[in-house]
Amino acid sequence: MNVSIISRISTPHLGDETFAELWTNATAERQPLSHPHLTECAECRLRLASFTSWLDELRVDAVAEAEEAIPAERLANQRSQILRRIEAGERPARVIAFPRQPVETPVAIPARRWMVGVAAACFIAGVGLGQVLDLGSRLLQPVEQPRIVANPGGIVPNVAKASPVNDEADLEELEAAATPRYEALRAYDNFTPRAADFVKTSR
Amino acid sequence: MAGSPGREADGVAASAVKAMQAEGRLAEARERYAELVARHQRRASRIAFHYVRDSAETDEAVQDAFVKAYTHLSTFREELPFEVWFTRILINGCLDRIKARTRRERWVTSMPDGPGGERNFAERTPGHGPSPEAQLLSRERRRQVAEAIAKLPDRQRSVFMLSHYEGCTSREVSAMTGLNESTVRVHLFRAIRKLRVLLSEGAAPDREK
Repeated sequence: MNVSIISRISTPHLGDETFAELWTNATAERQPLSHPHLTECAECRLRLASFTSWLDELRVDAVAEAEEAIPAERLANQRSQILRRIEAGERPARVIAFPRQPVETPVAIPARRWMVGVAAACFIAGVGLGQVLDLGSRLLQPVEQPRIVANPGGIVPNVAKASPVNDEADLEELEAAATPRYEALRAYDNFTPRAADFVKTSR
Repeated sequence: MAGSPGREADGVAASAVKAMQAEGRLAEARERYAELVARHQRRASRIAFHYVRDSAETDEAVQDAFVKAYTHLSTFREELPFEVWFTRILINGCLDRIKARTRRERWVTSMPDGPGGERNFAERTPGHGPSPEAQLLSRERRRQVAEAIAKLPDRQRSVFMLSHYEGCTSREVSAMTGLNESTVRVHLFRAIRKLRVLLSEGAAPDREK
């Protein structure tokens, strides 16, 4: 970023760009501003002073503004916030219990438990006894086995049909059973029609 | 900028905190870190304010940077000054905030401040400070400077603020921003040149009056 020779010849005085360059180099190297022309030209020295004071004003103003915006109380508060956040970050994560309704655990009463046990035992014994009795009655009754007749075309089970119900005989039996044995009641009985009569009329 | 003894003390403190963290002595580590916070807080707040230009956001940016630095202290290497390492974290955080704010402002229109641009009622109450006229002029000048600085590209702005406002050398700025030392100088030169133009343009109507 050297100042070109042409620009030096064409413009004898130093411009803002040159000042900016001089100032940048001086700031970077932490050295005072220097230029051969400045020793000779009072006007440029004056303008350079104005330029540097403008830059200084900028800095002073910016720093003052920042200091005003962040007073000491704010800094103290900020510090405590930083430490609080760091501490919170180091604390192990806490598991928060999910909110739920309290559940009442049933209290075991010994007497109630005993009664339940007896009831269950009785039920099982009853079911078992019922099974045994049912099995016994089945064993005592003769079971009619279906007769299987050999068939050349295939085995077809030939179930023997039950004998046809004799309605009349049954009705007579029923009437005989329903006939009162007492003499006094037989008269009433004779008034009422017989089932057999209905059967006969319907035929 | 802190001098060399200050930097050595920072380095020692940072290394001690790192060791304490590794050993699980967290309360002691926090206590020691608080010293570092106290030493760098003001400067950090100033830098953050130059970027974000809002007190509340400055607070948040500085807090975030210190918390981040503490949690990542294991990655800190002693050959780099703590101040430089920390400032880099802070600047990156501030730039992220500015980007986020720009994105937000695309969608949300902010409410205007008070008639004089005040944000705080206390600022409007009469006091023993400078006259209202002087305050107004000062505020106006600051606004113009802030606008001009905001118009600079990110790198030029960072280099200018760190070099000029915070008095960092080009080597320090180079370490903080990750730019070459010669690039830092070029950015500084361009920033000053541009600011000079922008601010003289802004001041021109006043001169005409």
